[in-house]
Amino acid sequence: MGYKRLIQLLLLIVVLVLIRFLFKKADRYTSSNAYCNSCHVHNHAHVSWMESVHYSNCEGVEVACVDCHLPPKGQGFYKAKLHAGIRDLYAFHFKDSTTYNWAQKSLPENARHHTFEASCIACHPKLFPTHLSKNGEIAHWHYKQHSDELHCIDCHIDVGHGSSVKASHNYQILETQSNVDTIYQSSFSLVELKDFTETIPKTNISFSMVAIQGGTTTIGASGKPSKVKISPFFIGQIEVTWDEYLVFLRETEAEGRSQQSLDGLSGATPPWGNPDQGWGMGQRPAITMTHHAATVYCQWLSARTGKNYRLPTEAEWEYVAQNALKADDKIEDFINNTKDLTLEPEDVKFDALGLRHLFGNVKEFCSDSYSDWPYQSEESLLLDPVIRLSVNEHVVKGGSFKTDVNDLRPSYRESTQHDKWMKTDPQIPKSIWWYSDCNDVGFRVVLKYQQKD
Amino acid sequence: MSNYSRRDFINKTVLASGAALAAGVIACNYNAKAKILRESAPDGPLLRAGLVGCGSRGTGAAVNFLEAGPNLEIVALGDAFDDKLQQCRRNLNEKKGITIDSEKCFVGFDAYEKVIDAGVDVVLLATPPYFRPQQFEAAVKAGKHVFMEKPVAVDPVGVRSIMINGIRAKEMGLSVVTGTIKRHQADYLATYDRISSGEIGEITSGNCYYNQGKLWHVNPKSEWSELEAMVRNWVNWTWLSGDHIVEQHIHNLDLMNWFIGAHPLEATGFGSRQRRTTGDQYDNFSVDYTYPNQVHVHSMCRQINGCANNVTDQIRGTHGYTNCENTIYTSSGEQRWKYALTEEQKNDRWYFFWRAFIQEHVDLVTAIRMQQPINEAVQIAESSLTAIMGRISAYTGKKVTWDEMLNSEVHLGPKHFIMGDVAVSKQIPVPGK
Repeated sequence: MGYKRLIQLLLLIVVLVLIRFLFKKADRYTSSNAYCNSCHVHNHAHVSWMESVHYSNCEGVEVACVDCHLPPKGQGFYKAKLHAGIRDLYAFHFKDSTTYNWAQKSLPENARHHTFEASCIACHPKLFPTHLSKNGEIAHWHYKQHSDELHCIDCHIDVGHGSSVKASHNYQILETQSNVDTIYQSSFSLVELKDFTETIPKTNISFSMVAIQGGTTTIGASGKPSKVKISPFFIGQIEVTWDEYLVFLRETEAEGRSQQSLDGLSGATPPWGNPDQGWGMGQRPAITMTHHAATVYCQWLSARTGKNYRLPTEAEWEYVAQNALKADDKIEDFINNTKDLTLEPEDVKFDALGLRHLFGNVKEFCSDSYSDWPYQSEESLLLDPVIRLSVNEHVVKGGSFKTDVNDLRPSYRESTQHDKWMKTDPQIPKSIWWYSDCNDVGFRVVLKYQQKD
Repeated sequence: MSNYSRRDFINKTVLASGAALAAGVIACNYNAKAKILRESAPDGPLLRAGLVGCGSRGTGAAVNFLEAGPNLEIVALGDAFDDKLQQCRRNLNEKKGITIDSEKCFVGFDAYEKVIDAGVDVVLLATPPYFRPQQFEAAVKAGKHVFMEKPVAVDPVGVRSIMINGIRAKEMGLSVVTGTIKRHQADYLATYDRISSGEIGEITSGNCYYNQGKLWHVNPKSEWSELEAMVRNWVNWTWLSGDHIVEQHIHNLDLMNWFIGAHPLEATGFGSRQRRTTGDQYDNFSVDYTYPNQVHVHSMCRQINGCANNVTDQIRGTHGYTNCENTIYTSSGEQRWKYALTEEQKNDRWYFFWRAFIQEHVDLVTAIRMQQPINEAVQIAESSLTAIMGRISAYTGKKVTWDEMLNSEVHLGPKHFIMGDVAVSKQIPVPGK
């Protein structure tokens, strides 16, 4: 009997060892890059990984998919692996991978759900290595203080895939471009309420302004409707572009700029990182500037053109929006459907007023302070109303590429969210010029039409 | 201290380095219970130290280091002024019989870089506090163990730098000990042990005093530039010393943070300048600190001759109170416990005080040789900031919060260090303006 027992025990041990061996082998196989790629649905991720510092670096370390996309062993590795495996299997058999918006999944707010911070820290345990720059110290200090709300990839989004670097001051965008064809000598001289092209003297920058006839309307469909009367004005045909905004930055940039600033106008400091998100500049809308920066831009533009440019009021913006689409227009033809990045103006049709991207693309600053529906009067007619309160938040209109298409309507209004939009800015004090964490806000300028006698 | 949690910091430290003693109360508690203060550091390979700041405290620190155990050497000296350096060099020779080569004596504001680079394992930092953050950063980045005198900064920018490089030192396995002697004093440690195990119940309030006479001052000389005159008279200039609430009273404030187990959240204080003859500092402060759970600590410090002197502390709990040093009382004032003294200790009023100066170095050398790093950088940075917030509240007349201070960009001192006039404000601060 004893002899038989011993054999049974030995067999059990052999079986257990075998199971363990097979499990290890299976675990290793299913943790390989080849296995991750075997579904052939995200080859672009493989390609962009090979461009990244996690594939090619001085140390010769190659970081595999599971090193970042699963937690370290002992910290929930197998649980997360099982979860991811089941999810991927389900998706592979029951979903159409061609409908995935990979770029959207790669935005920091989404990528943090499939990139494990514990894995970042397991390989990079030192928060303040000796070679860390001063800016790096500032940023990591900020992280240290807010580590429960921040994720490494909020700043280091590009280390695993792609090659651009976000986490530093970006002075390059302020470098002057040399190949310039036309240099305008003067600004447009305005005489009548008619569409015109503004030109900024001593630059190659021009942009179109669309004339808006005055009138009365009712705004604020979602709250208490209010009757307003809007005087005639002009509004930018498109959102202020990077080409335009960069001229402002270069002329007024605060760090290292000469003493002769324009009328004592204090200008923006260089941004922290790539304000264009790597999507490109040119005619794409300038983004991520603060409401304050947009206001200063208008002051600068006014000084440079001898006019009185400013941000639209909410009432003006809504009045324009009400007239932008005709009854039989399909809004899909006029908006950016990408869900993950801004588009150039040419990518959508002109609307009925001759504007582009009024809805979607980027949400646009208004000059009004934000509060729940602010207008009191339902009876009397409000003439060119604007709300100025002692609050920090302002109205933004029109939604962005991230906004659900059903929300893209004239009365849809949002608020700036200062603290949320500044979450990862590590500077002390935080920038007053750039939002670190809002990549879908921009603005358009307006100009009041003053009839000459 | 918004989310920079002390506990989090400790937990990570303990996880990361096992027996490591890091900043803060919990770690020190652990230290007091687990470790008996050693008489002397264990023997080991030769440890060479360099001294930056050759005044009397610097010279004292160098002597203390040499007395901490076997096989310890001072091999390099640095100071802004040659006369100070030579005097220290002579003193070390007379007291400890050591000779320091001229090639290892460095004079100037950059002397610290050369000392760090002179083949040393340990750097002793004892210049005026203004210079500490820059020197600490250089020492840590060069991989040196550090002893640094209190306070470690005069402004919030400096405090942040010490915190960052303190964490860096921990990540590098370096040991950092600072000159808050009470944390290395057997009687205080024994008292702390009892208070932390609840012997007076929950802590409800505290009082701390550093009321004494005038310190010292150095009158300017015609051959000195303004910068030289200021640095030689540094205990009277806020940008160099942090004012006396920071420079001296920090001992008590550090004790309060240690015993209470937290830093204050707010401070409202006042102070003034009545009798001080040089510099721009006040000579008295009174600050109400609010700690978590509405625990208030009243702090007083004064440097005026001919007034009531008092350098003591008191912490009160729901079941009694303590002088923090060696005695615990019941709520009605009867003595409940007193630290038992040896004959030697009974006969020497200053036994623990003088012993603590050496103990700091015994603990430092022991940590290095046993490869069990200790790191007091963040705790001393917090205590420095505690004192700084009291000063700023008194100077401005405003209530000051910890989060404001931790994120403040206030940075004192001139932009350039060239012997000549100093471009800093020399106005005496006026509150309420």
